[in-house]
Amino acid sequence: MVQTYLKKIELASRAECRNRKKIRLILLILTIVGALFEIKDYKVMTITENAYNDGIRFQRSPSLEGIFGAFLMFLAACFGLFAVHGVFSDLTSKQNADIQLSLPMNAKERYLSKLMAVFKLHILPILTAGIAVILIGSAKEDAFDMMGYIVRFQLVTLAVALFVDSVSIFCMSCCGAKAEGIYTSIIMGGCISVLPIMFFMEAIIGFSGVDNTYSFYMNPFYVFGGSILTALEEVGTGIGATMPYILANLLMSFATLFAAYFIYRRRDGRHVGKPIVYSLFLELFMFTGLTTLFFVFVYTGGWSIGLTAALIICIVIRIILARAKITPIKFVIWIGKYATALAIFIVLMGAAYYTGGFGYYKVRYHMNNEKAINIEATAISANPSSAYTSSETKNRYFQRDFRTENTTAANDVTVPANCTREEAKQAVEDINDLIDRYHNLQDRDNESFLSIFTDNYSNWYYSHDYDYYNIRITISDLKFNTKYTANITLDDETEYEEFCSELSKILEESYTESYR
Amino acid sequence: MIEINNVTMKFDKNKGEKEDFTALDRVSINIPESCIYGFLGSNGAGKSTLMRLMCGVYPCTEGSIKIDGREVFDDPEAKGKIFFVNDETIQYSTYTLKDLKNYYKCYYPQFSEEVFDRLTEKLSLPQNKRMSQFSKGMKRQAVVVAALSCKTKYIMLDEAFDGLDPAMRKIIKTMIVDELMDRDAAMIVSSHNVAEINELCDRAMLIHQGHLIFAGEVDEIKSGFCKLQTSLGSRQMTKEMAEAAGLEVMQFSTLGSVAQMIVRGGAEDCLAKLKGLSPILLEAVPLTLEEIFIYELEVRGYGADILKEN
Repeated sequence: MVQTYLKKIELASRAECRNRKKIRLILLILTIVGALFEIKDYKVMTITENAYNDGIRFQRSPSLEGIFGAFLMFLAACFGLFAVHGVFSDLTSKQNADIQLSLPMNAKERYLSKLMAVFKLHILPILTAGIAVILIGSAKEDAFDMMGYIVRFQLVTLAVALFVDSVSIFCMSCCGAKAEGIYTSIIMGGCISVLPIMFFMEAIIGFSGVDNTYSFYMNPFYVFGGSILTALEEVGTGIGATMPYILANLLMSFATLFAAYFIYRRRDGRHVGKPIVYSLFLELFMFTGLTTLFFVFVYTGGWSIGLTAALIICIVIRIILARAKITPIKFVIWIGKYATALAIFIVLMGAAYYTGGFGYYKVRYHMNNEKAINIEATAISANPSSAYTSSETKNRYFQRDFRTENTTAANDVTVPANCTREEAKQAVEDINDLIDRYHNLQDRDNESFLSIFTDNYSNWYYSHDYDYYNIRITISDLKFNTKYTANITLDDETEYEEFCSELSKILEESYTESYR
Repeated sequence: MIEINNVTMKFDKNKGEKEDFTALDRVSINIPESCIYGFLGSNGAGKSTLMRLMCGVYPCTEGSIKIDGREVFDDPEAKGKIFFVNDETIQYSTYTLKDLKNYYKCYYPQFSEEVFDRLTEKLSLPQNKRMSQFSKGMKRQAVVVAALSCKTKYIMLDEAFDGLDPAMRKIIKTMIVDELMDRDAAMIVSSHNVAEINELCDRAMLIHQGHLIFAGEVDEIKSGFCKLQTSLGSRQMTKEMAEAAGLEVMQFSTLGSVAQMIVRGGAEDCLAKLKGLSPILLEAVPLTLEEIFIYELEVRGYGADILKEN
């Protein structure tokens, strides 16, 4: 019984694939050429030594051929949009709906057979190319760490391909016209890729003043769609560091495909031809797009231009979608919906602002198994005259290395331990206490909040006002990998002096950066 | 048997419209096995909608459609017994005949390659040419060949013969009838060409603005209407006199003293009713299905506005 069912699905998917020859050919060309360039890249991969205490550290950077190969694979991953559009043509073409909906299959079988067809057309070539690259890469390179990098690179491509397919299938299931199916997929895909990270960077990190994500690619919000960049980043951590995010990406794609099934199941021939079948999807699409635009414009600072541009884009899309007569009332409703999206965005930003990134400002660094850390603090007076002329208030710099074991530098010189583990832990906790005392939500006011829509919002925790003092505390390992940062802004000179005095009890004050 | 039971089909209202559009309103017919059933109706009457409902493209808003006792919508077993050829062939443009064969072979386990190869050879259809390069007639032939090769119990052809030249129509019709007769299959065909339905079908139904007007065997339908010519001599025959005699008059006209009328009912019955008026001329002329179609729709005001304007 199960075998018959699977055979039916397989046969139907075969029928779908056979009739997408052009798409299959294009995808095969992209993946084969992309894989060849990636394979070639491993031959010329550079390995540099940049050691300090943990032995040899590998740094890898794809060569031009490697980047071109990755670009082709990325293109192949994005080409899934057209594969999905072809396979799911029963959703947007009346003629195809007549044929496919009258075939002896129910909605579930049809959906599964189409998924399998997309897998064969799109995922399988990428997967095969990835496996080929891994196998040939492993034959060329003997380092286990190197394999981790290669596998990660291929998994990211696969994750992006699945992301493109799942978002496209979801959007196609909500649209009844070809054009809408394609452009909503592109816009939604783009917005979903950037929105979580923009939200995290601007509303959480931005308003909290602290950051323990210490590297862009380790950001927990950096999932679903955008992770291709992690593979292109020059990192030496192999597969382990990004694996959870790749897995999260894959899981979210599968969840999206699962959700799309329930939408697809509700579709029938009546919906074909309607630009957007479900009005809820239209509102979700518009809201996602507008929120992304708002974040972009808050970040770039062109808020007034941004608001107008967003409104125009919003109305243009609504006009395209409205296939019936456009009345003044409709215009008013559209502007009302735009205003609602803007209001929700402002409320969201307000909530983030007044709660210090939804409580994220309380996040502190705690020492775990690190052998050595470095703590540094830079205190800068925003007033240039006082910074350079006044002897009382000036830019000050504090730092200290905490080495709990002997460590080896690049030139094989052994650097001796300078503290016990408990001492290092205590220093970190003392710094945390200091941050706790001076980093709170008392400085939040409406005027400052509104300024995010008028001023350039690149660094919320750096005040250019004359009476302010900016202090940045950074905790890093001895390889310059930042683990934690806290930005504190003080507006009282006495407070500033007190803060520096406290710092000098934990760290050593110097006027030049130390050599590590 | 296909049982269409009290089927209503409504489409969501478009923006600017106050009510949902009712494409079919409480339509009930039964289509037995081994017959050729004709769907007649004006443009936009609901024929294609009914066909799409019968093959599971649309769900019924109300009522039910069962094929051999199974509800057709979303039921693979019921849909496996029916093949739908719609009024377009553009969806097959990129296919070659080989692709078409392989496509349907994957869906219909009973697909007969022998039938497909035999019929394509008989019709001299090129195997490896894309269907976009086929003439309209050739495309139709190819799709009909695919439909016959799937060996389903019911085949539905939506305006399948439209746009074909008479010779081609005859070839296709003969081919279909020969194949269907061999295996006791049924064909449901919709067309605007009433003469064709008259010639091809043993059963038919007429639908107008979503309402079923009549359905049954073609001979029975035709025997239910007749055209009468009568003259009362010096007296002028009027519509009222005919109606008073018990006739249901659908159309009435006079030419001199001779009155001509289309009435509902059997010829013998109608003649007997008029005999009481002592006519000097009384004869019944058999009606074609096309005449019945026109008169039935005229009675319902179809095209009346256009005719008035002209």
